[in-house]
Amino acid sequence: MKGLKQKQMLKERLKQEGNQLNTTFKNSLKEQLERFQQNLERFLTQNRVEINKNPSLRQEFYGLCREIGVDPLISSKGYWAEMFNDIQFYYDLAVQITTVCIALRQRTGGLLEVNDCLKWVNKLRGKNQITIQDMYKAIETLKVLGNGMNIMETGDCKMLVSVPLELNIDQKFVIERARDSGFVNHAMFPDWPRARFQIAVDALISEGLVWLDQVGKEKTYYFPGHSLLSS
Amino acid sequence: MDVPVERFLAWPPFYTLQPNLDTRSQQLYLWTQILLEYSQKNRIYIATSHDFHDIMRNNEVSRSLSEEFKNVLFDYMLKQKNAIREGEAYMIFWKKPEAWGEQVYRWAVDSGRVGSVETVEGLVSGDETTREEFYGMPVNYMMVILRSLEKSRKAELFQVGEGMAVKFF
Repeated sequence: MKGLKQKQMLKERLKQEGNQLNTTFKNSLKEQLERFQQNLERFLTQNRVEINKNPSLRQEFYGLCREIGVDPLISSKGYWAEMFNDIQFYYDLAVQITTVCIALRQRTGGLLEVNDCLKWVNKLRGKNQITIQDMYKAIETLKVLGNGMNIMETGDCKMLVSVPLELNIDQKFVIERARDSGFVNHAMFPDWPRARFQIAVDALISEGLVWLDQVGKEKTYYFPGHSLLSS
Repeated sequence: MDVPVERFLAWPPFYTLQPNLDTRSQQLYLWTQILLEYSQKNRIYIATSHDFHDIMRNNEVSRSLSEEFKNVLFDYMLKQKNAIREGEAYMIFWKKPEAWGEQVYRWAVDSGRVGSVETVEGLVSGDETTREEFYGMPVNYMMVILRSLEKSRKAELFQVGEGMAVKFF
């Protein structure tokens, strides 16, 4: 009788233990699945241009999604479909931005203010206008492709750089000062010795970013990206 | 998609010869296009820089091309075969001699002149060509065109009395 009771208690304990184990297992599985989904999403975000561009990779990726119960194509509502539509939109936009930058590169030396680029892109798009936020998002997708296209921030001035370019602090400062007028001269840098100014603008000239305007001995340096292209 | 040249013409540094060679060749190319278009519009066949006085300066921005700049520009145009030296002046070819040649040859074919002899003088100022684009061009300018036709064996030039004549094949 005593033995029977003990047996029953043991059975109960075992059941409890089992339930707990089950819950832990379930929880950890759920956690794992969640983490997997998060990783998948992150992977998608980071590689969406690549995924969209590379057909065999896209095929594999869709297969993977289907296997874990997500259909990126058929499910019309929800995260995945939105994501893929998004990709296409921003990918197309990124192509347009790149087209503008490259078409004007010979003129700008590869330096174009984001706002000016927006104007050109919208001119190209016609009816379907985009915002500056769309621009930033699209440029973000371009980062996957490496350093071909960068945003350079000097002060509150954002420039799209479509050439491999290493600019130092002085050069960036000169570019920033040219923002409103489109040009710089030594008088605009009263704290700088002439040599310091000259070194900075000479470097910008040799990069093709700046045009010289000389009248008599007076030299002014013009940025086509700032002064020639903006309307 | 590009910046209209009017923008450049109103842009002060466009009148300073650029120290960066890439930028300079871009600048010279643009200036060449401007001069060619100006020549075509005003029917300038043979010119010195005086003939481009108006287009080479912009009073609104108080800029004009220096003598040095003009020399570099004409050298560039010579090299690009958009100009040919003619004494102290330049023959300006907004259309290449070969392209003009085709036009002259087409006229010859269409009007049944193949095989007969025409004076060069008559080609540019005769009654038969008044409706042609090449009507009114200087004789020595037409000679350059006919020589290019001669090179492709579609014409032969020879002296007749004081002037030159041409026979089309």
